Amino acid sequence: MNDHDKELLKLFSDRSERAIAETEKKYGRACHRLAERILSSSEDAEECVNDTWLSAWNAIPPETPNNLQAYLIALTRNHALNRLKANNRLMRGGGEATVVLDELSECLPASDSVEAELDRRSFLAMLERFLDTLSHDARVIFVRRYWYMNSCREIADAYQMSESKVRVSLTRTRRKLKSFLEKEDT
Amino acid sequence: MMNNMDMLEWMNDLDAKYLYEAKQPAIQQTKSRRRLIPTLVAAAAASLCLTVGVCAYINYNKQMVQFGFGTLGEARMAELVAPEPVTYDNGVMSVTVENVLSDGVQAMLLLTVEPVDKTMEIAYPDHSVNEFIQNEIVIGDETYRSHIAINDYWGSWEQMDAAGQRWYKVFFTLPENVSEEELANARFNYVKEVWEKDGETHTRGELFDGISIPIDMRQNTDAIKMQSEDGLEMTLSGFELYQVGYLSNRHDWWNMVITWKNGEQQRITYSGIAGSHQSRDDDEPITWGEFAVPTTEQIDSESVTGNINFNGPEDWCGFIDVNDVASFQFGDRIYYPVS
Repeated sequence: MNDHDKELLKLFSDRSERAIAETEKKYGRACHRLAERILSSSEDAEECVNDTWLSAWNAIPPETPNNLQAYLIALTRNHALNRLKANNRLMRGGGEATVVLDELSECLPASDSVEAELDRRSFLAMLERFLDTLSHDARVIFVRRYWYMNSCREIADAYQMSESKVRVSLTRTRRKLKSFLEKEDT
Repeated sequence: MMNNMDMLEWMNDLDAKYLYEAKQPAIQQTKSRRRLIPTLVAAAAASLCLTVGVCAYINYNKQMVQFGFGTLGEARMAELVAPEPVTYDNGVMSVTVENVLSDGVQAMLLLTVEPVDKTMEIAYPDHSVNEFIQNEIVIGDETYRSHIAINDYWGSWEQMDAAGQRWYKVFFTLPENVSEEELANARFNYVKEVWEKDGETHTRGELFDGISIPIDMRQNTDAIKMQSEDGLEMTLSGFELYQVGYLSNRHDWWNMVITWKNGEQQRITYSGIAGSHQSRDDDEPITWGEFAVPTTEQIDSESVTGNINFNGPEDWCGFIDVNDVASFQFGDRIYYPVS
């Protein structure tokens, strides 16, 4: 952990009012960008990031995250998804999260399988096993798309490949994931 | 049954090594052996840090769940004030008034809603609660806007019902200079709003339009004076704290802890901020972000009452029995009941 993050954590543990302001200064932009990508609204993203500061404030201490940035980003993603559900924006159309959700529908196992038994932990374990079977490129494209909610264009730019290659990779991976989940479930 | 939203959410706990890997620019992994080794070392170190961080995050989430649905505070909940819930409907939607609380400064309405046809999807024409529910409060000859402070509409009706989340709270700051009789005969109305924008007609609040509910907003719950060691005073009631002329900031709102008379402590969360100068039409004389700070010079800041509405310490419908409170921490100050 860098010195700056150590200082931030100390501000939290001292219950100093500067903790939020300083954290916002350092990580506010990254958190806001992720929230806005999910919510497609700068205003909602702002509120979501405020929720993140509140959660961090309530949790630290006793929590002492070893990687403050990862911790805050994960909190933001969680709050943004909760807000997305609360706003019920799924049916509004527009926004990267809506497209991502549509894409993920293709991965859902067929309803006659025993996927009804899947819970968070078993799904996660399966997903990680599945990710380990993928090539490096396919794996990072998948994670960029469905964890970080990057657009296909952003992924293509980051990996210096064409957008269509990203789309093809994602389509193949989704098909494989569906098949993998069905096999693992039976 | 798992759905796509579950998948997206459950991925939040994905092992940090995958997250770290995905954030590495591809070019660094193939550029040269000399750069590859330090990159891998850094990746391993960061991956470890991330894993611990995410684990901490998971633990944190578990704590939140326990906090939200625990039972520790239930014994301290005051009895519901409304004699019994009353239901109103317009043939499409049904609204039940579970409770109306008033501490003489502000009122809290606790409401539940459900479609008359239970097979109806909760996906209303517009999905944000604030957009599909519009309401107003009529006291005497005046009509006031009210705001919904708590809401959670996120799935199908069946999902909502199963999760017990068909409720919401409305907080309303009582206007000054109204009689007891006017407060006793107030009405809470759902209204339909129609407006034009860019040549298109927009509508909201349509489903609830026509439901009008009589409410008694006279004081019916206790409020006690509290004082800090440095002499600041505030009032604590079952669902809010308020103080005339008091300024605070968001850091105070995020740091509220009750110490009960038996020595146990409980952190509570706030659910809304309000000011005593109730908003009428589009006028907003109180800023939301600074808590009870007047936006115009016409309002004397010493006359402003700031209110912080809070959730019950454990459960959505709970509110605090103020007679069981030994002290209340608000920000860095601790307030004690004034006998």
